[in-house]
Amino acid sequence: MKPYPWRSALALSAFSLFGALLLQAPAAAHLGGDADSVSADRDVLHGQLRRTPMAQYDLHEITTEAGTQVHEYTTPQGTVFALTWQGPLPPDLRQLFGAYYKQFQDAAAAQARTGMHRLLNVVQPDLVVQSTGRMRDFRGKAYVPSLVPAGVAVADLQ
Amino acid sequence: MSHSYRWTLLLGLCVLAGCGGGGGSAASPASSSTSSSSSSSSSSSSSSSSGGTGSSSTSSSSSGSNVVALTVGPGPPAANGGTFNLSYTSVKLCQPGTSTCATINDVLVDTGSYGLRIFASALHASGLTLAVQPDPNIAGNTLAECTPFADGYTWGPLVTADLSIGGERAAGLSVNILDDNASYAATVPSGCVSMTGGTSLNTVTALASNGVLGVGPFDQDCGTYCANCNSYMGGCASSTDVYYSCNTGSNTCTATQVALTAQVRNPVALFAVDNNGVIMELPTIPTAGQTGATGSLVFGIGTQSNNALGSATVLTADGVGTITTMYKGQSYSGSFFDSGSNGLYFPDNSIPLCTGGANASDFYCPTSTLALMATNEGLNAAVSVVPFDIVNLDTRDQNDYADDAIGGPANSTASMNNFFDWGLPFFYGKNVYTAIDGKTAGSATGPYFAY
Repeated sequence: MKPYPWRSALALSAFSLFGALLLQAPAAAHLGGDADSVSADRDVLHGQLRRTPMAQYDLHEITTEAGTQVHEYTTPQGTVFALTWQGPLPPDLRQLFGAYYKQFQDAAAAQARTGMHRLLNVVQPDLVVQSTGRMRDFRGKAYVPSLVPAGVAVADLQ
Repeated sequence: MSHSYRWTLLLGLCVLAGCGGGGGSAASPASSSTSSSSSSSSSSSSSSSSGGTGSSSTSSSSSGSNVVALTVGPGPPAANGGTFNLSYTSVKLCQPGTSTCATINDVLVDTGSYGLRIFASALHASGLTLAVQPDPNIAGNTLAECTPFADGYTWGPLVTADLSIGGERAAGLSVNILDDNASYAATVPSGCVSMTGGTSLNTVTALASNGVLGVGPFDQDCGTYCANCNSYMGGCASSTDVYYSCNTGSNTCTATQVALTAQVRNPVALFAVDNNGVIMELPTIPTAGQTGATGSLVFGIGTQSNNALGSATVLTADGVGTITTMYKGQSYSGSFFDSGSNGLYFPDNSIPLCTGGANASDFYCPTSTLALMATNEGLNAAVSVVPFDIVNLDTRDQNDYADDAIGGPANSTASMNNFFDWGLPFFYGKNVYTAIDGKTAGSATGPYFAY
């Protein structure tokens, strides 16, 4: 596993909150959805969930059974504006993308690369998805540009 | 520079080739891409029937029973020559323990995956039938696999076959048959779709091959998790698994675990002697590209007189097969050597992207040829400086299937998840060693890459 820089940031944060949060049964979770619904993602992904409040956003980490780490980022108002994943298998993207899944699906279908299909870049005004993958090593990032809080550099979201 | 993108006919593959070079008609099939044989005697080293071996083609070849030909060319006729920079070989499959065999040509050689996948249509054309593997745990069920990619998935059953390639043999090999002809009745599981964006890559056209020979630095394609998922909190779950047990009555599938030995495996690991890795040997290609190339796929490292590690720089890879590449002051820890990628893919916002087609922005189109450099570093702290060129894709002759200097952007937003994907252009003019995890190969132990 690669070192995650946010781990050290985590340790320094006076607001760090460790441990699984057991939230009430939420509505469907998705990119652009509300923060509480992140636990629905945890349930679907059969993962462990941990939430860490940061200065400009909350970080929710889900580790799936396969060992894939999913990070969901919510605005101070509680909207999921970005997510990243890294691990041996991709996570359930339909669950994580929610209302954006169809848009992602259509874009992926239109961008048929050839050979072994190791990369996917979707850059649309309201959805950016960067995905790479080989068996045992899948990585990706998705965000909704209009929802990214001012001052947050998407490049820094790990 | 206009592009004549033939989306509807070629499912967009044409765009990858730039398609701007005129001469629009697709390559006509030279011959059937598969051939059958009922003989178990010496497997001829018949190379792929793909063309592209014109006067500007070069070769770099070794010989021996542990060597087979590698051909860079247009691939199988069904792919319509819609790609470039992919290398192919031939494999012979037999019903287990028998001399009932067939040879499948135009199988893509891929250091970025593990295990053999063959399209059902190619197998059917070869005349060979292979029985679907029963699920050892549920009577009447069969095993299948959904394999995720960055932008889609493949799907189909597992079969068992005896593989011969050159003088090497892997008996009782689990092979994933990619069901492109609806010969496998089971329905694609919803989890397979939701894990990947849902684009089926289950066509010879999509993968530009009759199958994939995954010879990357691991034995199984999934590994420990897929052998033990029943013991996890939620059990084997469709949203987090790739292997399935399919009911032959209802044709529905549920996620299941599959023992390491029964997973889709890198066949090299099953060879008797030359089982610690492979060498891909491809000739030097001019920066401008050429119609094709012929090289060698050598099995084993340091096991024969023709596969010594020699003075190659060994870059030890991590547990998922990646190394670190440093480029223009940035360090990319998720980098990899992938003969299944048709270009060098790396982040560089200063290089103009191609324009004019739906997929054009997947490639770089610098105004003049760029001479660049990157440094690779393994976990063993060994470093290697790699100079490389990037040309404007629009200048590519669409009849050139070997292109030394094609590149494109990796994830455009810098992050720790970023990577440098050393695709096939990297392999030209080198002998690239890929050693399997845990195996001693020459003076080092896998997983490593060396060149």
